[in-house]
Formats: sequence, structure tokens, C-alpha cells
Amino acid sequence: MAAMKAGRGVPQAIENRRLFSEYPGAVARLLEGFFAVDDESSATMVRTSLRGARREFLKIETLKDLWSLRKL
Amino acid sequence: MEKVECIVVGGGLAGLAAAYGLAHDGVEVMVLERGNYSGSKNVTGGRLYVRPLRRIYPELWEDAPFERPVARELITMLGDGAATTVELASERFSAPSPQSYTIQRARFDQWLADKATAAGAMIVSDMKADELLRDGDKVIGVRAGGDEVGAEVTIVAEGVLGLLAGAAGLREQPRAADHAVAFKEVIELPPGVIEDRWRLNEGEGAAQLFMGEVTRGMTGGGFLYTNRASIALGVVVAMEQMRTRGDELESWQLLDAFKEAAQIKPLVRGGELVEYSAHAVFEGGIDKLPRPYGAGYLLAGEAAGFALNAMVTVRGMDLAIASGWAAARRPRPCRSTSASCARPS
Repeated sequence: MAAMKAGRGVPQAIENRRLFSEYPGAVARLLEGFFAVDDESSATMVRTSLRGARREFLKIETLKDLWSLRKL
Repeated sequence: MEKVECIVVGGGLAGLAAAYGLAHDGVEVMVLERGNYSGSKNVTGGRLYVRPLRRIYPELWEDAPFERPVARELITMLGDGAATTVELASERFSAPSPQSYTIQRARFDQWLADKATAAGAMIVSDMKADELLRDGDKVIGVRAGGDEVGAEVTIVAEGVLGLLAGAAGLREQPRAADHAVAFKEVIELPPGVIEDRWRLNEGEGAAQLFMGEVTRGMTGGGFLYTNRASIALGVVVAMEQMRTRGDELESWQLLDAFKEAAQIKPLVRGGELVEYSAHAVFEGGIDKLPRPYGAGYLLAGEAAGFALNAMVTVRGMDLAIASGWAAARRPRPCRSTSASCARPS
């Protein structure tokens, strides 16, 4: 029962569809930035990833989602 | 003294890329290769990023003898008794135009040497260059095998230590602090086993890098590349940090211990060791690069310091080919105005 009580907010939190639609692709794109080498590679890995992280995750929606995931 | 338009010292990727481009454009070019054949002395274990090269010699890459296109990238961090792996299998890195391939240099370099020969380059194997000949500040050719051969331009693609260029005063002698040392084993495994262990579709490959306990806190890491029927497994560690440790540990022992680690053992199980080698790797960065040209000469590939280890991407071979290509574009004015040889436009 302790585990069930601790997970009281889980059903609501995982109803968020963005977890299953937007974020998997966003994480992949972020990692691709890490591993990519092309003829235009001029930015450093960290700069590329920070830029990617900002683009993919620095949104009001994402911050709200993070807040709701504290219940997991 | 016999004279040719261009001599290339070193029949590796940089030298052959330069020779191919020059011969293709009708320049008389002679490549001196110290091994029995191009690639015979090369121990690079790894991956060639082809994407940056597709605009360079686009006609070449279709029938190149690649091992496997890298479809799965893995970074494994070993620490505190645990292995944490970040993994990416992206279709944008694999078909239809893969970003990178694993290659075996003995096979790959021979293929490129054949291409250069077919284009008209003369490749002289078993011929170690002993000295760069100079007339004042200008490099005027090479002494090799007791003979002297003059050239309007000498492209020095002799590899990482740059001993000839160093002896001729074209670059500083290599310093341990700017280099890492790499140890590598090639371990044969059946193709199906490789595909099962790295969860690959038939014919696809993986590149796995390791960091953490593999180098006992020193700068460096482990690497693993899947060839068609073998894997290249190795460890790279900063030379100066290794040298100044003050204990009994030898760098090659890192690879032995790495292979025995619980997380690595299942990956190499049942494999047969067929090759063991060691190599220096330049890691000094752009601030430590030698001047890549001067009167009568150009440096290319590792001899020019073109290697970049950015932790998750390790580049050298694509930079070698690109620098060979760039070097081949420089000597063109030689025929009209020899004074402008080897000077960037």
C-alpha cells in the first residue's frame, strides 16, 4: 500500500500525451546533435547540445510538464 | 638528380588522397610508401566519417570497401561498479546515405592506392623516405633508399610523429603532452554474432565509446567498432598523464583490464584475437598545429596535426582525406610559376 500511496499522482501524470508524442523525438534530435558530423560542423558539441536543448525543451509547456511529473 | 613534379611522402589516406587528386589533374606524382603496400603499416581502428567528404571526390565513395555503416552509437560510462549507456540508433545516420562507416585500413588504403594508380600516380612501396632535401628554406625533394629525387612540391603525409618534417625544421618535435597513446586489438567474431550483440540489422555496424574507470581517471577512454567479421577494441590514454603516474601501471595493461571488465567480457566472448597494435594520437588541438606549408612543401593528415577527439566524435581519417584533397589543389600553379608553389591562394 505504501507504494500505491506514493504513486497516487502517477495515473494523472502519465496521461500527458506529450510524453509519448513529442518528447521521444525531441530527445533523439538532441542526441543526434551530439553524434553528428557533417561538412558544416562548426559549433562545438556543448554549444550544439545547448542550442538543441533550448530549442526542444525551453518552453512553457515543457516546464509545466516537468512540474506535473514531480508526482511520479 | 631525377625530378618529378610532386612527391608525396606516405601512402596513407592523406597522401593517397593528394596523389589521386594530383594524378587526376595530370600532375606527375610519386608516392613513397614505407610499407609493403598502402595500409600495411596502418593500425587505425575505426570509423571514417564520410558525410563531410561527399563533396570531395564524390565519384570515389560508391564502391569504397567499407566494413559497416554505423547505425548505432553508444557511449558507456563506467563508474562505481556500474555501466551507464547512452545509445542512439537514428535512421538519419544510416540508410540511405550513412554518416560514417567502420573501415579496416589495410583493405581501404590498398583500394585508394589502386584508385590513385589508375588515375596515373606512381606508388613506390617498400620505400622509406630518409630525409627531406632543402635548398635554403625551400624543400626541393627527398632522399630515399640511397637516391635523391627532386620535386617542385613535396607533400609530407608521413603520419603522426612527423619525424622527417621535424628533422627538416618544418615543425617542432612531438611532445608527449600533446599526444595520447592508443592500444587496439582486432578480435574476430562471426557477422551474425556481431549483429546480435549490438542489435543491428544485417550489414549495419555500431560504434561504442567508453569513459570512466577504463583509464583510471586519466584523460582518455575505450573504443569499440564493429567491422564485418571482427571488432576493433582499444583504449586511448593521455601520454603525459600516463607517464607521470608514478606507479607501476603500463598503458597496455589498461586494455587487458578493460577486456576483463564485467561489462566488456560478454561483448568479446568467443572472439579470436588476430591483431594487436599501438599508435600515437595527436590531441594538441588547433593551437598546437604546425605551419602546414612553406616553400616547396605542404603537410597533410596527421603530419599536419589534423585529428580531433571531441569525446563522442573522434575524427582523423576524414580530416586526412580532406587535407590531402586540399594539398592536391595547392601545387597546381607550379607549372606556370614555381615560386608560388605550396603557397595558399
